[in-house]
Amino acid sequence: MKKSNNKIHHIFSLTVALLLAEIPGAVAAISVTVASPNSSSGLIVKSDQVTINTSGFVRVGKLTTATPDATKNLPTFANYQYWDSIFVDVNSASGGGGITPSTWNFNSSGALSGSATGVSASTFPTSTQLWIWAFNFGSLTSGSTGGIPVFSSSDFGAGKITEWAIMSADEWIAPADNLAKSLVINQVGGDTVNRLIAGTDLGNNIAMIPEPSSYALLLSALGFMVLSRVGRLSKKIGGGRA
Amino acid sequence: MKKTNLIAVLALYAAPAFLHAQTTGYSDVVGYAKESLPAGQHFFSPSFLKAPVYTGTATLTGNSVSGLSLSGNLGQTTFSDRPNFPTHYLEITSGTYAGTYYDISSNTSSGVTLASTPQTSGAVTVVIRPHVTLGDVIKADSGIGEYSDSIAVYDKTGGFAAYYFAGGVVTADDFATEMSHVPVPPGNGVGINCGANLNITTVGTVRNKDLKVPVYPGAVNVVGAFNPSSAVKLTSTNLANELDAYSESVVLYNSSGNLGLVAIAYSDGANVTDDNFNAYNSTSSPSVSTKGSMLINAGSAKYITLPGAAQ
Repeated sequence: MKKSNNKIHHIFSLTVALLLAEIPGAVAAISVTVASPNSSSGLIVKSDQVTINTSGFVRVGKLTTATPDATKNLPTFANYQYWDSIFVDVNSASGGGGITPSTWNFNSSGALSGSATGVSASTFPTSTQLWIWAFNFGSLTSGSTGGIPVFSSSDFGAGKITEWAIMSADEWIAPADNLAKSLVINQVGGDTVNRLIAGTDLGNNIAMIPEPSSYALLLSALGFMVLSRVGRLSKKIGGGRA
Repeated sequence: MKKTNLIAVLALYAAPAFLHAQTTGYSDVVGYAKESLPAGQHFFSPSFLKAPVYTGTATLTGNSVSGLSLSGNLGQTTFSDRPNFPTHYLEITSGTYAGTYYDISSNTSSGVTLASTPQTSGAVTVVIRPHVTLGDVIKADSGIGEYSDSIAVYDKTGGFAAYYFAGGVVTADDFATEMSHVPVPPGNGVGINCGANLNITTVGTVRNKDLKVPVYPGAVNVVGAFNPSSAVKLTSTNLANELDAYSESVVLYNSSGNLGLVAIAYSDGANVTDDNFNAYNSTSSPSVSTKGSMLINAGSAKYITLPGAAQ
């Protein structure tokens, strides 16, 4: 009789345990904050290092691949389609379950702040690498149903999307359920794995990279600056090429 | 890694409290605790109270409390540029509902209005204390990372607000609006995500009476041990009677920063059990550490009783 009771109790226990499995917490959501209120925390600036203060916004999310194609880093429509296809935003409209704030549009000082709340902890489980994709054009509609603008080829070019930045950092990993994570811009750069796919590390700030033709000019300018500096140094130390 | 210093049984009777000493019948023990939280994620609960501003008798009528002798503003903060929060709470210290507490909405020199209505009325003894706030817990010398480390404060509905540290103060997620005044109600905890070791020093009064902490269905109910000197075994609480059998649970995590699961505990109606519904005894029972918290998965609104630390 006792054995039978034990068996019934055991079956009951197992049944209840199965019913209750995986519900250690009542809520499974996280918050993700963008921390870019000033140059101390780091700002995302244009390629000419001027703050972005007229339009532009950031997308925050994860990549569906651990090895994104870093050669597709320039802001072209084709590259946009590639990154868009592998980017899962924290916003509901893009599958992340969260409500994004209007403060993820650059303000008049080029700053960003604010949190996406209610982000799905199952879509963004602990230790998911989080990314920021910043645009110099367009804006987010805050809220769960608004959100991420969908760009077409006509949105790329003069007066529209001409620059962007794509970045992450070692520290940018999703927190456990019911906790928050802040993505501080000055944490980008210096990782063992390069997670500044598109952009230039200016120390605290990150500069966007421009569209291909401007990027070529920028590289030329940078090259000229380097050569000039080498030349000046050579003269200074009395060396130089033979 | 905990250092606790309890200053031996200091009688902290301020004049009004002394006048009503016979109604409280105990002396407050004060002290401080230094808790070291390793880099990572934690649920942390302060284990001290602030000294009372009133101790004595009162008459409850709905959410009005009369017969008090008070000074100053004990109601909500009155900021115009940021969210306001309660600054003080009233705790009932006699009768069936002793240990329950209620935020104070406003006050006069002789009474207070509570934000919610107690389940009892008539003559009772009460104590009024200031809330412990985020500013009391997180300070510049705690090693908190500016802009990066977060503090989550949970609401009754399952949501939470994240706060940060910038410019030497606790802020909202705009990193500009100071939010040091956000209360951490007694017995409650917060979620902390820190990039480097955090050292939190809390100071105050050690609670020596049972406290009834309200928990809510669907909410992240972070409830601390509320004992700065020793961990609290689940079997030494009243959880066996307070949790709905086989359905409501308590989740314990470690304090190493990775939120490793220590135990999921239930009640079978008479005992606190493991997740196979085997009863714990005083030896096998898991504990809530001095700096840790338990997460209560409640199916209905109720009170969880925390035993006093220095009874």
